[in-house]
Amino acid sequence: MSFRSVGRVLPTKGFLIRLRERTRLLRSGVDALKMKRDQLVKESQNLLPDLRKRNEIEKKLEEAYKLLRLAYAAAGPDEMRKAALLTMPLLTEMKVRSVIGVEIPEISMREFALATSPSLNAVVIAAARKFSEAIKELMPLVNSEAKFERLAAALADTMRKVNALEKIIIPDHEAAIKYIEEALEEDALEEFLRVKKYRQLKRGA
Amino acid sequence: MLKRAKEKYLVVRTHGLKSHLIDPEDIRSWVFVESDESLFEKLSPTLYGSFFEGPEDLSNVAKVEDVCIKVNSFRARRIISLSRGTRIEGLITTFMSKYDIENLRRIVFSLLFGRKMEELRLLPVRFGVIDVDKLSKARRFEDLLEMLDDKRLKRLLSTWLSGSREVTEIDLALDRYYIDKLFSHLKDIKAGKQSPIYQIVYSYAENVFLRTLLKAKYLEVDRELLSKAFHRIPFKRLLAISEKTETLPEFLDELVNLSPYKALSVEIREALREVGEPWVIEHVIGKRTYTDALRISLKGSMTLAYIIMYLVTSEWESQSIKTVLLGRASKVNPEVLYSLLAPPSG
Repeated sequence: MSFRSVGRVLPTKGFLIRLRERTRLLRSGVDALKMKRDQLVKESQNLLPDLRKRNEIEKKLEEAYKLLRLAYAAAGPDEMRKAALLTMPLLTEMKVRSVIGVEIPEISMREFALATSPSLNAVVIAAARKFSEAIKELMPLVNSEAKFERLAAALADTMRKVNALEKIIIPDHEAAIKYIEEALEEDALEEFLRVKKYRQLKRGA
Repeated sequence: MLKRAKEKYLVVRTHGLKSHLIDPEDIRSWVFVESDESLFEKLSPTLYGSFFEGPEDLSNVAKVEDVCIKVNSFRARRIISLSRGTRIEGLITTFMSKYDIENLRRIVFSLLFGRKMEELRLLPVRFGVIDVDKLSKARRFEDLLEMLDDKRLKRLLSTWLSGSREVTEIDLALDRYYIDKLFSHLKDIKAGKQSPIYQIVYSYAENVFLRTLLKAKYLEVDRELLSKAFHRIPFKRLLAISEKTETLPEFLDELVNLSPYKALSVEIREALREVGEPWVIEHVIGKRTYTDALRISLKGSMTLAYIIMYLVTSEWESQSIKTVLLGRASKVNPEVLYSLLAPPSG
């Protein structure tokens, strides 16, 4: 006899003991995974206030893009190139942190200096300032979203494992145990009848 | 009245040239033109039309920018060539030298931030006050200093190089250099303070100074730095306000109490309130410069002031055309563009 998640089942006492041991281990695994799941949910929920800021930041970015378009119209791309002469690239740093075994990236701004000068067109300075404000607020959101994505993936994975254990693997093991128990019981009954018959025959003889 | 016949001829020619400028109301209405083809048809009879080969060029931002600056420069060059041998030749050339100074500024910025030659884009116009093409080949500040012919510029740059090397400091110094050059040419033509030419140049320089002050306040530039850069500038009232205020809102609050600056202050404050940024500074100053030039030139349409008014009007026109074309290309709301091109009287 064979069970999908147990493999070939031998109806022996030794196999039954090993199977019961494995089932106990699986149940404690389920408990541990459920604890991990609850912790992941809690961690994800803590990120919700940060994630809710997305709309607000999107609005700020929209405003910045609106000003950028105006800057293109009023000052022209040449003035943008001039502004670019003064700007240093945005430098970021990324560290990886582990939260209950889930690796989470943490990005921080290392260098972000907005160099402007009075000779730049005010609309270009305004657009640059709006973008710089939005980027500064965007960074924590980027971190939270990256963290949330990783946590969500880990949560889905954990849920899948819990479900597989609870709905397939443990029931399979239980079925296998039941099968072995029944088979052993049948064997024992057969053995009992055989012994009984043998005794009757011996007495009759 | 003009004493010299050549100057009189120059003013008469400028009247003729002025009649070729596009009506600002026409430019304003172009923001609502549906297709590039229709707009191309409207632009074709103008000087701009000869630079654009087809409707597709109207959405080519680099070309639009190039054409607008070239048309303005072409008109200024014509005036400069007509003014050869007159008292005003030096003043007109200096007036247009802002483009040369702007190019020098870009060269300084690119050297300061270690940019490559490909990253440096200069304005495609030259007025010969500074040899921009020669200076653009400089790889180090030392080379730039050696190449500079103008002693005052050389001194200004060398002082800056030995000091903090702050972008704002050189910016302010170059603005001061430009304003001083304008006033020194006014002295050359022996213009009295009541003459229209003196008033129009004074008003223009005041607007240049005011624009710099507004942006310096916006960027919260140190008051001492501003006072040092504009020490003994003729615009005492503005400098005094600048010295007692720290931020742009404070500066605007002071300006609003002075009638010549009231409208300007209100408009910038409105932008600050609505967008949170005073993005309209250039536009408001441009409009004020244009209005002032028109007003002063009305006092003497046969004076040299009319020539400066023509140059200011030509610049306003090319800026307006650029705003319409680039605004359309960047998909800016036509209503916003229309309000940006509001006539100075409105």
